[in-house]
Amino acid sequence: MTFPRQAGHAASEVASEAASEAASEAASEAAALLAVSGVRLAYGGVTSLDEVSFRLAPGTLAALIGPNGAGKTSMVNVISGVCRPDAGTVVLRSPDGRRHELTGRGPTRVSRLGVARTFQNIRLFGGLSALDNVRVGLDNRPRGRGGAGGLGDLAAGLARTPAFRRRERAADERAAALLALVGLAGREGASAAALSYGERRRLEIARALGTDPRLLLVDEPAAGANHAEKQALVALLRRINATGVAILLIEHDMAMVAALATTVVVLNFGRVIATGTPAEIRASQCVQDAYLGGPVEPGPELERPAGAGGVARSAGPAEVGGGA
Amino acid sequence: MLGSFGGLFAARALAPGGADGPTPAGLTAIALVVAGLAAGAAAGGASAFAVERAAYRPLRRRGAPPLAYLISAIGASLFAYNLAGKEFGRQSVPVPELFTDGPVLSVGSVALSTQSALIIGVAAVMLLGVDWLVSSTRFGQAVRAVAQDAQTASLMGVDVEKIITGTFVLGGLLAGAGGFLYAMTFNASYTMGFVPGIKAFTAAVLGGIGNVRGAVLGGLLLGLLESYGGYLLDASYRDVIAFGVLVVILLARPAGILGARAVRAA
Amino acid sequence: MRATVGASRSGAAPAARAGARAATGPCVLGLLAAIVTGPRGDGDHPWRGVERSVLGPRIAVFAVLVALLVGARTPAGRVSLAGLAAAARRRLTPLAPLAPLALVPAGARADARAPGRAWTARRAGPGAALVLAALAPLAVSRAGQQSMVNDIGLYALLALGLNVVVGCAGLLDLGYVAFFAIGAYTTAYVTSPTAMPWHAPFTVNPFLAVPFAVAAAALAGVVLGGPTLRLGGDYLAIVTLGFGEIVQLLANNAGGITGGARGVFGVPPLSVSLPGLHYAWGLAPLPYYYLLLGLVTVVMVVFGRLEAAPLGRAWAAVREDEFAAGLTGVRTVRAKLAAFAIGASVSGFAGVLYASKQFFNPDSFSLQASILVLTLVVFGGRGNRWGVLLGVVVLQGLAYALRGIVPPPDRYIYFGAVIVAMMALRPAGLVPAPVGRALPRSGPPVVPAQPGPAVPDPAVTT
Repeated sequence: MTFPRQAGHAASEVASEAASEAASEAASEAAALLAVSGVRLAYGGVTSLDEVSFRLAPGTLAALIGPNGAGKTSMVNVISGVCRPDAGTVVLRSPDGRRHELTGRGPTRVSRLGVARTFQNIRLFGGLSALDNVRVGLDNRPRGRGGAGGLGDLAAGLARTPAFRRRERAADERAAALLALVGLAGREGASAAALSYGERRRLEIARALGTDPRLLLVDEPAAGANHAEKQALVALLRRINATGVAILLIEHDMAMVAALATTVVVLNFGRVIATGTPAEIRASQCVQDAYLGGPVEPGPELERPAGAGGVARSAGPAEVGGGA
Repeated sequence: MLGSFGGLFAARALAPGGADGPTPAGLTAIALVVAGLAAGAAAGGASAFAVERAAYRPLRRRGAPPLAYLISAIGASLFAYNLAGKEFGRQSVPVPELFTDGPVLSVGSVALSTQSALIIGVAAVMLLGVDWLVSSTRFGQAVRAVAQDAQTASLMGVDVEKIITGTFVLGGLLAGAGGFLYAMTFNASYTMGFVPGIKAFTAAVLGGIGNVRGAVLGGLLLGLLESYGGYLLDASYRDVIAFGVLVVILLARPAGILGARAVRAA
Repeated sequence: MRATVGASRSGAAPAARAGARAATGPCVLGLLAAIVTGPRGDGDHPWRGVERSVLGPRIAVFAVLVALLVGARTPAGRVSLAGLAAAARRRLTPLAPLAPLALVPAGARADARAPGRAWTARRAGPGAALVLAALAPLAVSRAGQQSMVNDIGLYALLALGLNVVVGCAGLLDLGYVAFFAIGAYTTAYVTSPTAMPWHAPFTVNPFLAVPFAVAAAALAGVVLGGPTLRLGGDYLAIVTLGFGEIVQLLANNAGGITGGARGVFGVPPLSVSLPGLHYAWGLAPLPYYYLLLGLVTVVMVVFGRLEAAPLGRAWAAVREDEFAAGLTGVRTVRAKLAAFAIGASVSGFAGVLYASKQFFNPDSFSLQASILVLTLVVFGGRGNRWGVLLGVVVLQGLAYALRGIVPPPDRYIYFGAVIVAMMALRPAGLVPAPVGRALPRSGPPVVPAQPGPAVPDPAVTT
């Protein structure tokens, strides 16, 4: 487990310290896959991220949660290179031990270093087939792992050398395999625009996987999904994580978070207010306050009759996090 | 931007009608000039309306990408000025003398002719008028709202279609009146719209797209650059200068002189 | 959208108003059509053309057209029109021998959609088209052949090149013939000491001028594209427009270099002199046609392979959503620059052919020419090279066939109308770019065994 440095909040809990006894500290600064340190991002008078720091171990499945406007998508934008932070660094570690600073590099460079992401409002290549969407990802894998590029490859493509044809076939098969992994087998030829909403979400994940990432940022995949789809998503993300890809999940759905994540980072107003396991977070008073806007006295409008299937107030963020 | 482009083309190509007859003077002259300006404005506004309806509205309906608008604008312009060429002949047509042109003001060896005074006067009126319109009227407010976020504007009760059409028509009116003044100075021909259109765009970008005062500033600046550059290099290179300025500005400072600084990142 | 929510009024007035509204469009269209196809006016009598077009017996034809259009908008009208269309289709079946022409679009879609079909089946459509194209000039007069060379052959090359820029990569280049001009002038520079004031210290066979011309054009493309491709689409269009104008202006004014408005005369015609093979293209159009046909075929094959290569996919990704493409790791700047350079190269290459064919002067490289090429691409099918070819054949063929009826300068009125109509009604063009690509070879995908056991779905509490 990773243990982020606490920042700012007066009532922030140090629960993570307690949990560290249970799990051995596998990630020190040196071994972390992703190290976010002191990131600040402000625009237009709004401080979107304020001294955010946390670390992710390789292969971890972590979640980033927080009320709306807490800065989650901003964080993802910074990590994926879309936004340059005003201060702080984001460092990615490659398997050979090299550290790559992601801050300030554009999204293309970050993607080619092994960080992939999906979008809250899905952005696919509508005019391309599902297969080709994934192929674009595969074409642009990090150098040395099969990405196509450079004049040599172009010449091979023009001449259709046997080597080129073999590479293409292999890439097509891998793309089909990825589609099958996300449950889109048989839909390879369909144009991305013609897929259903759930299929499009899964295609986006497949395309992200095509770039052979070491870290996958998934931004609110459960938005608009029904119960069955959420379960399928949970299974899918677990399958992906099992292949060694670290996942950082942005989600409001606490049930999903609880089912998937081993570490949870909670943001509020741009600051990290708590980290820990889902159970700890759920029990954390400070997180409850953040979601509810402060300690709340039970009043007639909040109490629900027990028999109507409502859950009592003390059950924590699970019920209040449902707003999308 | 492209809308005003197309409107400019259409309006200028359709070189507004003036009056004919012997050179008038005095009140008649003034009346004729005003009539010419009005007719020019009307023609410009009408053609802008037509272009917006025919070429852009169907694209808005189907949510077309910006590339489609650009291409459609090109097509509309092509259609309009070639039709004008067919109907009005391919020679340049002079506007008949509406008043006796002479110096109005002399400062040393520099004389300001009536014609020039007229142009400056009309430009000043237009600047003040549009500035007032955009900043102090409901229409102007609606235009700015739609420019920022059309969907929210419509939720606030703004009839977006009407505002868009109105904006195009306003551009056409201004372009048409300007075209009449241009024709008085340089004669009208079916291709007269193209180069002034480009220069108008250059001036607007130079001053800062979306900024009325910037547009005027840009126009003045561009005119100065052209005149001096044409003097220094070669008269026939004036247009090259204009295009050159455009390219340089777009590369160095796309926001223009008075424009807002570009927003960073995504 | 004027919804009928709100105050309800008596039925007659809104119905009449709706009817009037439905009729205004067709009426205006009919009027315009009458004016456009009618006699011309001139500077002294600007309204003569309009008057004679509209007030006269010929207006009857357009009145019928308007009635048809208005009728088409009402449900009842639509039904009767559909019946008419079906009847017309039945009448047209004797035209079946022209069916091979339909194979071309089919070939275009088959090209990308079902590579699983046999090699021969995929080649059938394009093969038939090639045969047809080879035989076609024999069926027309010499003047027709000349037109086929100039209007179709050269423009096909240009349109294919521009298609890569506009259709594949989605970049609007309004100064495309600038590269054409650069290619032509470079050819004059290296092939003849007398054709224009500036000349190279050596001369080469026009065929060997190709590398020079292509290099010059590609360099120009990179120099222009480098700084400007990061601008938005509108600004790129304007900058390329400006560039095109600058090139033409320079060609016209720099008389000491280019011969100015006088033009270039005396570029040696294309010829091949290898041991055993001597041939020179002269004035006859037919040999030029076959040369162009061969070149167009090569270009088609090359571009087809490009589109199927990772670069082609990168273009498509950039065209669809540049932001998402960047985030998926596509090197967008490189891809756009490549498209620009390739388009410019093809244009420069066409310039070599143009220069060695005949005399040329700066008038040939006008904005109007750039827009014409754009029209051909947009009309035929943006992003689909077969569609572009078809568009060139159809539009240029029509222009030639109607040359008696429509004076050449008026052509552009129709082209403009075609562009606007195409964008409004069928933005993808005649033959749209094919979308899907299924698995290329045989068999269902092999799903590699997943590491780890199947994870039982956790109990998800709500």
